[in-house]
Amino acid sequence: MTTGFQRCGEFALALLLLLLCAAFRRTLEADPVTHMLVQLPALAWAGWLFAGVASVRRPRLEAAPTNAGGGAGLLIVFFGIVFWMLPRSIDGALTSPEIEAAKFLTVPFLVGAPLRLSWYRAHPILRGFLLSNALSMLGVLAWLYMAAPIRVCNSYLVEDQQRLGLAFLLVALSLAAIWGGRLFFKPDGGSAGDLLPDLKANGSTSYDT
Amino acid sequence: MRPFLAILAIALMGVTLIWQVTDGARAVTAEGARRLHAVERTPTMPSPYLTDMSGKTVRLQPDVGGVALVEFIYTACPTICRYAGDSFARLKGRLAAAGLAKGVRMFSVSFDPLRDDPMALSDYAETHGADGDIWKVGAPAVTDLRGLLSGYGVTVIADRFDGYEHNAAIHLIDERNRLVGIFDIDDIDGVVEAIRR
Amino acid sequence: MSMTSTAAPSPQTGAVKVAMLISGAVFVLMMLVGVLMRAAQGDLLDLDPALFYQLMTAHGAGMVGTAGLSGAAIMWYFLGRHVALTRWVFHIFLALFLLGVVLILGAIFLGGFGAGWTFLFPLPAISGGAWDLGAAAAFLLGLVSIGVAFLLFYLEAGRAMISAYGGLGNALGWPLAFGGSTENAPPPTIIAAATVTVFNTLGIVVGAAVLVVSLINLYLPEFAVDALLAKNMIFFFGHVFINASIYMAVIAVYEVVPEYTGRPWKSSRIFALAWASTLLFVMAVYPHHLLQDLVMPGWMLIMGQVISYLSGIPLLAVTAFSLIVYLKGSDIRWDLAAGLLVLGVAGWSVGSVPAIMDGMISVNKVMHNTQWVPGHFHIYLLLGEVAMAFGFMAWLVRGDVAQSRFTTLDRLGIWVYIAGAGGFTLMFLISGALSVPRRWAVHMEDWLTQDRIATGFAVLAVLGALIFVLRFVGGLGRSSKA
Repeated sequence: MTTGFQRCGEFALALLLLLLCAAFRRTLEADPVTHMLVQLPALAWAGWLFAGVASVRRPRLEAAPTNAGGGAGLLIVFFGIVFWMLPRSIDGALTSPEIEAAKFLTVPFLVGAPLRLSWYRAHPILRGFLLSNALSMLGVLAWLYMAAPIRVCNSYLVEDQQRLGLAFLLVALSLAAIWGGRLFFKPDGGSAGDLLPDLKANGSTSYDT
Repeated sequence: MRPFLAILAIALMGVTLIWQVTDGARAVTAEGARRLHAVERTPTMPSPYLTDMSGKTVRLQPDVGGVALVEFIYTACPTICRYAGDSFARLKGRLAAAGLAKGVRMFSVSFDPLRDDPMALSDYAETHGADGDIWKVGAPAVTDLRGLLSGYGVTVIADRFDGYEHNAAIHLIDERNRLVGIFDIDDIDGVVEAIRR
Repeated sequence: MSMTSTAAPSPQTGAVKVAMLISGAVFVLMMLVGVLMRAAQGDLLDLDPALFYQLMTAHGAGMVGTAGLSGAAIMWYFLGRHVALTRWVFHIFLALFLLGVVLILGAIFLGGFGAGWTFLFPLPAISGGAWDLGAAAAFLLGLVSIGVAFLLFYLEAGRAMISAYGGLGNALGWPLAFGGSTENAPPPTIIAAATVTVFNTLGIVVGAAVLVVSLINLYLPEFAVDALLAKNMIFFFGHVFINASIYMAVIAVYEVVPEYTGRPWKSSRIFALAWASTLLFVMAVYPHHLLQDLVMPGWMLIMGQVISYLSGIPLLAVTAFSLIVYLKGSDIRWDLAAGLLVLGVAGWSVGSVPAIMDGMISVNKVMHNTQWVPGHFHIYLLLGEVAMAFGFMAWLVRGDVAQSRFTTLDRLGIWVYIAGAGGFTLMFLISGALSVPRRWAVHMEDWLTQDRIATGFAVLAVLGALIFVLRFVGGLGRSSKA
């Protein structure tokens, strides 16, 4: 059970993440690796925490019939991620204050928060599918960025782009190792606090049926 | 039923959004968008005064009834600007051979006005065979630089070797000072073909 | 959609029968395509070379896909005896598979795509006007759809096995293999299914990545990726996938043969070790497909050759040896199913001999682009995987074991099939040894005799296959197995 104290802590952590992302905006965005792999995930994490706190206060949020099975929420997450995967959007965030402001709103509230409200409602197969897909697509991005003969972002150097590709590859491999490892050695994994599919037998899970 | 309708609505909105922000799935990079918009929207470009390689002041614009080709460089550039210079030289030859040189102005514009004084510019001109007549090498005033670059949509960032990286391209400007085409620096055929039309 | 999942394990007979019906029909159809190609090479038939390559692409994609489908259906059926599977996953699997088939057929026969099933980068994008980008994209999307189908299939299989056995390590039989612990040792079906689930999921993830990259390259050619890396990924995916089809099909041997011998097929420590080594080797051996790529790192090619000796051999030896032991001394009543399943193991074993020879760098240097290679993989598939699939089909509609009879038609079917497939593949090997190139639409005068003999054998094999499929269709109505 989440205690009130824990909830406060999570709320504070979310705020802190937002503030840090904003305060160290220039530093984080100077390098595409920290921009894409530190700032954006941190913003999404903040949204995840906010949604967690909010759904404790308003349990209806987590049980919204519109989001049965988590499909609607995950689709929002999908489009949010697609938008922020466009090199145009990243370039835009660096040159236009409006797009930058949009990033601070949409990444937490259209990626992190709906993910938190939908992930555990999704069927384990859907979750497994999304995870495998994420690995595959991280690999694709890594490959494209390492091999592309063109600069995809006007605001970043080609060598930074290649470094970003390598970073994507490392993230993909680490995630694969972590998820794969848990499937081998910790079959009871997937408790409510982390991003792993719940692999317990049908019936003992909380996903929507 | 409700989740199904929600999913349908979100899918529609999401596809519309991505379609909108990629100009109909045609441009996923800022550079792609810039090139697309040049052709479709023909925005008017700034035309500041430049100091050219002989120290004279010239305006960055085509002659009356003519067109201009503009590329951005810095003379200390060890890589792509040299290539761009060679490409401009070949382009000049091709235009002359095709009888299109009349009415065409070519500008190599430095975005490094602090270092690129007339001396450096003239060295660059000499290396690449810029004659100063059809093809001028020049630099804007420091105060005009930002407006010029943002007008053209050229992003210049410092690399780690005391130089710059930038989206290099050949820009085609029509007689009303509008940007009507952006070409890769090695796309000489494309430029010649566009001027012919 | 209602998400009813079975509480207790029970095989999903109806949907599996549908899958096997599709498999059988496509097998026969694609064999006919093969006959056409061999006849065209033998100058018995006037075939436009463009059409020849379209047919070759359809034959390759169709056969690999259907081998996968029939293997998956076998695995799903018998896995259902041991763990509770979510039934609708198999329906989605079938639907996505058929969607992929439609896309691929459209790409080939409407769009003219003929770059071979291996979609070797950047060939799909460079057709020289033979097909347009849309056709190449439809083909790649068709493969993506089939890939997604298999991904969902394995995710559900993995989920069910993990929840039943507490972790993949247990389902793979590792405590038995490495600790000798027979406590809660999973049955052979689980060990085989878990192994395939692990390596084929990896293969599919890699395959999906290279497919998406190829799709991006079609429309954004400036993203020209490293062709050697792409080839490595494609052959990793392709090798793993086609091997998975055999490893899934062999489950039918483990489950069905005991019904005839009366002795259960048990998971021994050697058996578990053989599968554990297969898991590693099947993924590490793929460079033996790239022995002609001189730019490959030397160590990878050497690894490819060395593991070729090891890959599959422990498993094959354990399976074939156990099968002989089980059959010997048991009072087996032969019928079509038993005959075909045993034939499958025999074909799989025989096929490994030319395969290992081809995996040697010195041999591959001269043999790789000859008909030797189709020779070895046709033995594996035609006499191995496909025979097991036909055996499973015969068993599915066999009815009660006591009333099962080995009819004259059955015997005729088996012998015609063995003679046809055996002669057909032997002709490939002979032609390969005589340096007849593979993948040529038009053959030289000197090769025509071999091509014509092969065509005759191929017709025999199709006749045999036709008998098996018609027997299955006839049996569907009156089968009683639930």
